[in-house]
Amino acid sequence: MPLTSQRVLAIIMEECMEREERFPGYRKELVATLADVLQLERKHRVQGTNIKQRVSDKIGALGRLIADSRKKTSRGSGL
Amino acid sequence: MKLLSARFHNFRLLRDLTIDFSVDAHKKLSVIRAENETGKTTMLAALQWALYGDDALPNKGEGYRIHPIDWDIKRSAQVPISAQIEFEITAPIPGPSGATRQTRKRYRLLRSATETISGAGWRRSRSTPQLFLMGENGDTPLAEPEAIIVDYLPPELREVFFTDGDRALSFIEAGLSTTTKRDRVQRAIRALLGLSVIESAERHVKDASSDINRKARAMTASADLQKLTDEVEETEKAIADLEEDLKASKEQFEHLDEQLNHIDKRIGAALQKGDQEALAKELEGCKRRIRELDTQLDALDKAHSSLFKSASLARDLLRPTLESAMAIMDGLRQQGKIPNTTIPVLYERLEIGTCICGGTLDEKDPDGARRRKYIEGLIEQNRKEDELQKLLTEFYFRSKSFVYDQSRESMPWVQLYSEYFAQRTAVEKQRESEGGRMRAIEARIAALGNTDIAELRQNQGLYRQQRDDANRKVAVLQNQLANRRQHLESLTKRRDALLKEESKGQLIAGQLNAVQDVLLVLQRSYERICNEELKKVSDCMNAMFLRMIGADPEQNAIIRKAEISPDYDILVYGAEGRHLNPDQDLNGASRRALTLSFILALTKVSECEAPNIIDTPLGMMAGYVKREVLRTAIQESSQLILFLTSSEIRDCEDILDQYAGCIVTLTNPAHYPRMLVNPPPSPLVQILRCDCNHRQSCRICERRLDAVIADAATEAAYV
Repeated sequence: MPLTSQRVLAIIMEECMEREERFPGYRKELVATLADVLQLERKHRVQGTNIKQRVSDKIGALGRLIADSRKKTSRGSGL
Repeated sequence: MKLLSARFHNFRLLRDLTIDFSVDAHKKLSVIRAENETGKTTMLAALQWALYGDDALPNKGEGYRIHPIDWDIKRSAQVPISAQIEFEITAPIPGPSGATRQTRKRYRLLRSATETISGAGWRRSRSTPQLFLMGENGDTPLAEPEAIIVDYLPPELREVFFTDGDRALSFIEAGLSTTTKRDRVQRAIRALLGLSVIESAERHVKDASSDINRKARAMTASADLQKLTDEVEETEKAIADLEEDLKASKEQFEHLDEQLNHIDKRIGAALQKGDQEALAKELEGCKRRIRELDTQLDALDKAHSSLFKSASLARDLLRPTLESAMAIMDGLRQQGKIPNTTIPVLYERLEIGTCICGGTLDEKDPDGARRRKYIEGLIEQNRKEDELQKLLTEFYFRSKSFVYDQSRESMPWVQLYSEYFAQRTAVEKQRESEGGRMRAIEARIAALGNTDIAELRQNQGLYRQQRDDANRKVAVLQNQLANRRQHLESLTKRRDALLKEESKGQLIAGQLNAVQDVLLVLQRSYERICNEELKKVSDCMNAMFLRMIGADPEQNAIIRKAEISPDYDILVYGAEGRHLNPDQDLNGASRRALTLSFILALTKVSECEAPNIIDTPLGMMAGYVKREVLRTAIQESSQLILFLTSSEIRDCEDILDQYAGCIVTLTNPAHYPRMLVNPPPSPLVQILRCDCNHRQSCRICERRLDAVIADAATEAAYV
């Protein structure tokens, strides 16, 4: 793990805890997504990756989790 | 990251040199003792070259020769060059439960290149790095070594981790514009706190947000949702544009503010020297006064000269002689010898015919004829003495009036002379003073150079107006941005509600929620890091700096506080909050202490475990400050590698005894015989290493000055 990320990650974790828990475990997923995004950014700086697509994929994956949890909630409530 | 060892091969004078560094947590200081011209700066360059490549060499490697200058071309025209660094990285690995555990990995980085010498020139092959993960079963080569290095020691932080006493001053040095210094400080802080990574992440998350919005719009959806999605996208675009405008306006404001400050200072400085127009008038007045005084002086000169031709000078000079002469002549007068009146009286008597005694002077009378004959005899006799008497008489009467008649001049010559002299001295003094004043005004006018205060004032007004306009624009844009954001929030809520209602919209709605959350976390984290962490760096720097220079704000210290402003300026304050200019008001030792504090504070607050490698940090320092700078640097670094000369080590030996886990001495054999006592073991010009610590010397490193000191110590002990 890069040295500069430790402090940043701590702050990001705190900020994630301030977000709405959209489904059980959402905040942890949010932390993981952000950690991955920052990791991708660091990698992109030296490797020139397709960063836009990769970041978009990470966000998409988190969004899918939210959508899935809503579907489950809707089914559970019989809606 | 901690450096374990470094090995250099054919890197200038470092032909074959290995150095170990201390990784002991209690003795985290490594010292490379080396005098001037003994490879300290070369080693600093070699370490950076190993990590960052040619860009890290002086002048980005352009024209920078690496091979040893005395390389034997007969042996080979090609010089293999390499620098190898072994380092370890301890990093937290997040566990499944959220807790982290530490892992330690060791790496070996090898950078090599070849320089081919042809005639007086040379060319260097592209340097290539190889990175190996060191393991018990041998080393494993790793792909893309730069990626790992950049991650752990970002190139933009090179000046923070690898520095020297002079380069460290680049954060505050004079001669640089405020913007440049601010940029350097900001760049270091942003890189070390990971702000640049957050900025680029935010940019890419915004791109992802636009993509999701596009997907939402492309979806077959209700007209309301379609409309809302378009509006959200437009608003997001407008917000992005406003943010760009705001950033540009803020930069413009800062630029204009700096220009204005600069002009204010120039006007202030020029006015301190004087207003050119006012000075010209003053000079003219001064010249006029000088002309008047010169005229007065001329008149006094003439009067003074004429005094030497005056009767009063003669009278005063001749007075004693004249007075004694007058006394004699008064006697002669009393005797009737002067004035010479005998002949006229005698003639008168002869004409009257009666003698003074009353007897007759009639020629017919015998007695009268006798008397007459006698008187005529007297006349004849007196006529002979007449010339002398005439002169005496004239001299007597003229001298009498000359000596005793003082009515013509009111005061004696000496008094007149004193009076003229006093007047002349006074006027001369005034003339001298006016002359000095004229020179001073001329000097002030010359110092003004071409500073045209009127023009500066005109520019000042112009800049002030532009700055105020920019400030107003910033306020307007901030207001617009706040409104747009608020509008976006309400649009997003309505859109999300509609999306949830549509089955296909569930995924998009989830993604939009996710992107909003990610963006918000990034933005807030960035803001927090900027505000909170910058404050921490500032406070930490202040504490270290005051400790280093021994300044106690409670004890009337001259320097009371140092801070990093929200605009990334390093500021220093004296008593009553008075601002001190770090590059002008601080002495050399304090300036170095300030910049080292900044570097150490940055490293500490970012919680980075990275080495601080500093060349001659204690130059220009002595006594308390030197010891405290060293002690603080050791305390606040996770690994400290110092290149020190003997004079820097002097008075700090006990600190090195306590904290140095590794000390080596480097020697340049070219210093024999002038500085080194013993001849070098080999004729090859290369930096030699021995294991002597700061208190030792050996056949390789013993220096003449050391020998003299040792002899003196022995002699003193004997006595």
